[in-house]
Order: sequence, then structure tokens, then C-alpha cells
Amino acid sequence: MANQEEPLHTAEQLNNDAIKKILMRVPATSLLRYQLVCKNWWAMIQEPQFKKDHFKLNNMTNGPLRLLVVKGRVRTGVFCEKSMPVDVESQQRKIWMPRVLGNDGHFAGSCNGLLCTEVKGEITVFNPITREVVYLPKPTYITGYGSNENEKMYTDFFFHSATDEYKVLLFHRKHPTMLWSVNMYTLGANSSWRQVDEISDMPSNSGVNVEDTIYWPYFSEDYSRAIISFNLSEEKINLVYPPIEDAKLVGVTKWHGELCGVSFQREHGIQYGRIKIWILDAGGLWTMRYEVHLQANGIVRLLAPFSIIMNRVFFVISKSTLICHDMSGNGGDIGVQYGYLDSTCQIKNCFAYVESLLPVPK
Amino acid sequence: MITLTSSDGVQFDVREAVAKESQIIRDMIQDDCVITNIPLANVNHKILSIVLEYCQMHVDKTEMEVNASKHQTTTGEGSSSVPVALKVSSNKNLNDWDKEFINVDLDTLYDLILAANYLNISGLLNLTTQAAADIIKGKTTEEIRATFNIKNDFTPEEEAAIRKENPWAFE
Repeated sequence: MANQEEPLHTAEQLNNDAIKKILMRVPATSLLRYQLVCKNWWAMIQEPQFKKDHFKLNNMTNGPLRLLVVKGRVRTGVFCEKSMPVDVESQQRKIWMPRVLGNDGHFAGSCNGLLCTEVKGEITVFNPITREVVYLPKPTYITGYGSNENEKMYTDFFFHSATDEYKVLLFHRKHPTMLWSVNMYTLGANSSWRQVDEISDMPSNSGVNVEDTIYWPYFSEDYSRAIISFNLSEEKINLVYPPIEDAKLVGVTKWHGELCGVSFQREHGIQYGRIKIWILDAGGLWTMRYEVHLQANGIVRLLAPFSIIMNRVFFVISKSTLICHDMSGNGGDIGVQYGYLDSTCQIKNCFAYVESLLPVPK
Repeated sequence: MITLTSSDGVQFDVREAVAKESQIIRDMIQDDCVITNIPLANVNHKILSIVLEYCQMHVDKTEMEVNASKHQTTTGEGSSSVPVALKVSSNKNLNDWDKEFINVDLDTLYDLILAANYLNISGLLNLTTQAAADIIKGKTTEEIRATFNIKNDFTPEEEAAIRKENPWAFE
């Protein structure tokens, strides 16, 4: 029974359960520091289940941040900022990377707070907050990336929720006359690269994971724009969806858990463009769900892929301009000009990212 | 009506819907439908009255929305945009109200967290733990210890070892 005279003096009586619930809402970077508060806090933050719950809650409530992949000769890097653009320069910070991306490096993907990069065939998965890194073995069939002009590769990084595993997919082609081999590496003990399929071309843009199936936009053999899929359990590539009629499919993304096709058309001259977001209906036909009109001072173009983070869709419409469009209807477009981008660099990609303390499986 | 009795013996008569914002009270009522008096051993009257103010407000707002959507179904499809707008504005008002509500001193905030945790009121628990997280977010470890009245029980060697693991976090 509580003391009836004195009010509870709770600062010292907050139980572990309550403290855990507070710490769940603290950013991952602060939690690293808070391990030093006392042994009790240290033990709580170390718990694998706590790390999982912390990620899950932050993914849901705080909303993902966005990662901008900026590529150029002078300034190449990955920057992290809030998904709502206010004052970009001051809230942006550079993401820590174990390897410099340089001219040949690619940013392959982001899931559960882990990131994946590929530099000259060397693939790295890491958590930029804890700075835990796993260097994947370089596949033997990569002959000498950089020295062989005909050799091409494309990397993507996903989380397979059914098995709780991270998977790296590598599309590799030795010579233009050859097929692309599709290779997979599952992070964890005793893994190695293995070829899972072959295909005539690489994806034309970033993939998206919808319930453990990955979808990429793709140029099929007759050069029409289609979508290929890869089910992480079945491990087979399928040419799944037909092109969108009368519209140029430029990419795929996910909105409210559903696969979306995105098309882009220029109209009424070079300054205007229209982006449409399509969702597959039960009959396998594309239905237009959302439309965004774009206008630029110069030529409007859709340069890089885009992503939907919460209800905000991001389009890069010129080397240094990102458009954030609110699809929930609560606000219009906000264009973000990245003043620091000089003529040698441009935004290459935009990913959703949630800071986490999750470990990189070794 | 249900009577809730605080740890210091003060009785509060509230509507069943208000009391049922608490998961444990909801379970008690479900198990024993004739229950009318529930003693709450871990919540004093000062905190209980604040908790009930929160529950009352949230029940009222929810009921208002239900009524609004009922209105929508009876008036037909033509007016469907009105209740949506109403819902948006009432959510906004409720968020503003929550923000104002949670503007309390630290001791009260901790008491509210404990009460929300004990009574299992998820909305209030989210609100209070987020408020506490916002308070401690940018603080140094020393400031955290002061805020939570925690003693540093690490030896200097242990502390150095943890710092060494993630030195960048302490820069």
C-alpha cells in the first residue's frame, strides 16, 4: 500500500517498465550516450528485444527520416534530414560511412536502420549509429570492376521479414552479349554468394519491398516498360506486371503498404509535367490513384527515383531541387532547393531511413 | 456510474465509458459486470483527478466523432466532406488539448507515467512517455542522472570501457 500522507516521490521510483517506455521514444543516437547513466539503463539498452521494439516504435510514430544520396566529384555523400523540409541546410547531417563512395560507389539500400553500399564490387552493410560493419566477400566472378568496361552490376538490399534475415541482391553482367546473373547473399553465419536466377537486363530503377516480394521497374525484351518481381522465399525472378497504358512507367514505390507504379509525362511545353501514381487492382489492371502536377522554372524533368515517406512523396525535378508533395491533402508542394549542390553533383536517390540500434548479423 | 477510490481514500464517481479508458478497469468490468467500486492502490487522488480529466476529454471527443459520422450516414453521400473536415479539426483540437494538458512539472509527469502504466491507458502512456523523452532527449548523462535522481554505479574502468565502444557518441 502506498503511503497515505506523502505524495509519491517518484523520480526515484519510476520502475523499469516505465523507464523502458520512455527510452523507447528517445532517438538511437541519444541512447548510445545513455548507456552510461547507470548499470540498469545500460542493461536495458543492450537488450536485443529493446532494440527491436525501439526501432518498431520509431518507425511508426516518429516517421522515417530521409536519406539523400548526393553524387559528384567534389561532394559525394549520404545526408540525413527530417522528412519535412523546413530549413534544410541546418538540419542536415552527413551519414557516417565505413567506405568512401567516391566516383564508382553506389548506395544500395536502407532497411531497419542498416545501410548497404557497393564500391567497385565491394559490398558493405553497416549501422551508421553503432558503426557496426559487415564487409561481404567479393564475389569471385567479379573480374576487375572498373578495368572491364563491359562489366556492369547493380545492388539492392532488403529485409526478409518471414525469416528475419537481411539479403543483398546483386545483378551482374560480364559482357553485353551475356545475360545478367542474379545473385543473393544472406547476412549471418556461414553465408556465401549464390546465383538464384538469370535475366536479360538489370532493373531500370530502385526496387521496393512489398510483403517480402521485391519489385523493380524493368525494360522487357521488346523495350516496353514493365515490372519484375523477386519473391524472397521462392527466390525466382518473374516478369509480373504489364506496363501502364499510355503512360511512361519510371519507377515503383509503396504507399499504404501497396505496390505503386509511378509514371511521368511532360505536357504543355517543357516547364510542366505530370506524375501519376498507380495501384494494381484485384483484376491486375493499373488504376490511377494520385496525380501531381509539376512546374519548374527551367525544364521540368524527373531525374532520380522518388520515395514515399509517410504521406509525402519526394521527386527530384532538377539536379538540385527536390519536391515534397503531401498526399494526405493537408498541404501543397514544397520545393527544396539544395544551394550547396554545385554543377558537378546531383541528388541521385532518396531513401526512407529510421535510426536504430539494431545489430548487423555477422 | 462507477466509483474509483484513490490510494488516499478519495472517491471519484465517473461514467463507465470514462473508467473504461483504462485497460485494467475494462478487464475488471468484463470479468465482473456488477462491480461498482474499484479501489486503486497505486494512484493518489491528485494524480487520479488529472488522469480522469484526460479520460473524460478523450471519451467526449470520441463520442462527438461517432455522432458526426452517424450524422454523415443519415444525411447521405452528398455531405461526406463535412464530417471529414470536422474530424480533422477535432483531432487537431485534441492534439492541442493534449499538449496543454501535458505541460506539468516533472514530478507530476512521472506520477502520470506510473499511473498510466499501472492503469494501462495507452493514449495517456504514449503522451506522457513522449513528453518525458522530449525532456531528456538532448541532455548529457550527468543531467539525466540529476533529472531522474539516479546514482552513477559504474566504476571509472567500466565507464571508460563503454566510452571506448562508441567514442563518437560522446564527442
